[in-house]
Amino acid sequence: MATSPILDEMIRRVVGGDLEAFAEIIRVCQRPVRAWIVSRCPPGGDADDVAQQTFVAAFKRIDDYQIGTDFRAWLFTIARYQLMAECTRLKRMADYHSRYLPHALSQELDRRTEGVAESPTRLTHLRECLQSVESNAREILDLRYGKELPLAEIAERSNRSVAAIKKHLFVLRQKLHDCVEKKFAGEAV
Amino acid sequence: MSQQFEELWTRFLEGELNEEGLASLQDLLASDSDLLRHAGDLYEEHRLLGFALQPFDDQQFVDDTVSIVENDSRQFVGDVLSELRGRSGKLVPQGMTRGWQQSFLAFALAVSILFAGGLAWFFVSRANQPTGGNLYTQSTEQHYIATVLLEDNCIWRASNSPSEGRRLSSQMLDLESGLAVIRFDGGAELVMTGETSLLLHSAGSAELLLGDVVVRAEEEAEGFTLTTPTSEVIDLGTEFAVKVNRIGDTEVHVLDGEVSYRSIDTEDELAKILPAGEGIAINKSGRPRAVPMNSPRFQEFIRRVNPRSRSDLLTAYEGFNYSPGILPLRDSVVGTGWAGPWRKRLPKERKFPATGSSPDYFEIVHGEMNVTWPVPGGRLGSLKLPGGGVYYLRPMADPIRLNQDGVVFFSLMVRETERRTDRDRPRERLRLTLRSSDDFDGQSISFGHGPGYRPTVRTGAGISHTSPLVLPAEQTTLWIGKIVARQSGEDEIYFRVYGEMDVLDYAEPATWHVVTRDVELDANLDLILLSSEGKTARLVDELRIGPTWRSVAPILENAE
Repeated sequence: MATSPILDEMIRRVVGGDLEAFAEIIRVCQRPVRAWIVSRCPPGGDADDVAQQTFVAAFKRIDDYQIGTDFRAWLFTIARYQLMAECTRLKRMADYHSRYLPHALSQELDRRTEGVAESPTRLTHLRECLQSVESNAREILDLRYGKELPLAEIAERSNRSVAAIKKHLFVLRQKLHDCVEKKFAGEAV
Repeated sequence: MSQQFEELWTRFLEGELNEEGLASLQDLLASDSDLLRHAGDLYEEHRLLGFALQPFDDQQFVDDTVSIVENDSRQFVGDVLSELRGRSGKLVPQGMTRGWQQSFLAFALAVSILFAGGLAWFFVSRANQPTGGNLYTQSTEQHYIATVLLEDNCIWRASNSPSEGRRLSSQMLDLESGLAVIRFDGGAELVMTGETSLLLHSAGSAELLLGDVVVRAEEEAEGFTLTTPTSEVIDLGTEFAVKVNRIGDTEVHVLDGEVSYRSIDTEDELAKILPAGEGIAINKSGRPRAVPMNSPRFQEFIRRVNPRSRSDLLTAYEGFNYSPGILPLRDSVVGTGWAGPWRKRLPKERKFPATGSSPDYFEIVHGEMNVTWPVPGGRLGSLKLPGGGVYYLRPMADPIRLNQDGVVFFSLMVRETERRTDRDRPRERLRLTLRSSDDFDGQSISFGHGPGYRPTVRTGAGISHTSPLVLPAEQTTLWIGKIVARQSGEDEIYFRVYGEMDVLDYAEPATWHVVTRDVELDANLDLILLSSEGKTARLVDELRIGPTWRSVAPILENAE
């Protein structure tokens, strides 16, 4: 897919050394790139740093991009290589798999990273599915994922046990997963 | 989905799973491919929930990223100016100019400065103007996928022949003779012998065009793919040999486990499994036929080479081989590769920290280091660093040049006399730092530990890379560091600490305690700084600096 004429014009300005234009490109592209990196980034990796390195590398190589081709695909390819480098770094740390990430899951993430990199459809579906979550359940998700509170604090705030919160989160994730899968299945029909 | 998976998965996502739990989760996922795919989906959704629900300052991200690019740009212009200034300086050798020479050199200097200023204006103005040509030269950044572990009598066809410890990108390796061992970042290790042409594709794949290789791809390296002119061989957790002759015919011999193979460029695209002890030959027509399995094992090749220590390659060595007792610093002149004796910090170097209690002498002790590695003379002289804040420097004759492509290893033996665990967080630190005499407080690389006794690499400006592992207490440890310097692109720094029970292999380890990221340095590091802070005394010994693992690591050699 070719890049829009407006984006191509911004890229021409970046090639000319215009950092404002580059800032605009980051503004436009950072969310899908970050989302893809976040979804594939293994524990211990810094997804935002990988995203930042992606844009820095893109700026340094902007001459390599051919105006009129698919800029987003070019950018995602850089993101994929940056993430692969980060994964390699993590794996070279002693005991990484026995302490942080089961090896089988690491290989599964590698396999997914090596595939086509693009704005994750799973995120779109997940956002839609979040709309249908009841308010008290949404509150638990906000505390866990939005505020990143420890489970003990979430339990205290909601007058429940840690075990109950764990169970509730598991059920919520499963419901969201089922909802996302239904949307994928609907797309395939 | 089982109750066990539910419990393990929830604890995994909450970061509560210990090593035993992770092993159980690994077993569950490895035995059920559907569950593994499901776990992959759940993991993605878990991460995306954080992405969707966490507040994120988009503008801050944009500003920070642009700021990095701007700093890189200024650095580039600064480097150009500094280079030109350096050349200008060399135009005026002291005491050698007079008369017309002075006039000419003054003119040349003025032209250089004008040129430098013009160039700076050119770059800066173009960085700020929306029009014009390219600001940057084409990037030479590369993606590294493998490391050379061992070389034995190698003759390579290419002029940029790889050497031990060197990182490799996707490239052709043309070996004329000798033996080389390559470790791919995916974990597979490959030995190539004699005339061999191997094209490295990725961290998990390569193409053998000619010659003999043996691949060992155990556990985590499973799935390594080797293609040849006639076939594709995929490792299924095993060891196998592949031979390709000059017309491209291929032989596959399975030494352990099993491999999947298939002919390429034929209609039959189905892969077949070849078990251990069997061999297969595939010619250009793609027809496989059984052949006797007749390849030596990976370890057999290593045993034949019998890799030995290469202390002859050391660029600097300090064994503190002095008589026990007090040694004035001015007499600390033994060792090799040094440009002078040890000394205390000069006044201009006393900034971080400004004070110290370093005596004007060394205390040399014998027999206090428990040496479990084959270190000749390791039980003899050691340096005892007293409690307090002590700082000693020694200039190296051969600086570590971070602005050039190269690999440097160091090792140091350290004896911790006491592990303090007081609640008031004792400020116990020991560091080996590489600094520059031209810019002492500028770029540096420091290996050591802080109050948490965790291996740490510091790369100046307060940037630390710390391992979660705690150093073994009150024993002798062996510190080994590796610096992969690059003229262009990211430098890589590795650090690993070995305990008394650890045996060092013939080649560098696959994993390290500290692996840095986003480090780009270009200093000339010509000073070694030993810093010991805290209340406890420490022993240090056997400081080695060299270009390869074998030059600094006390490896166990076969007695032949």
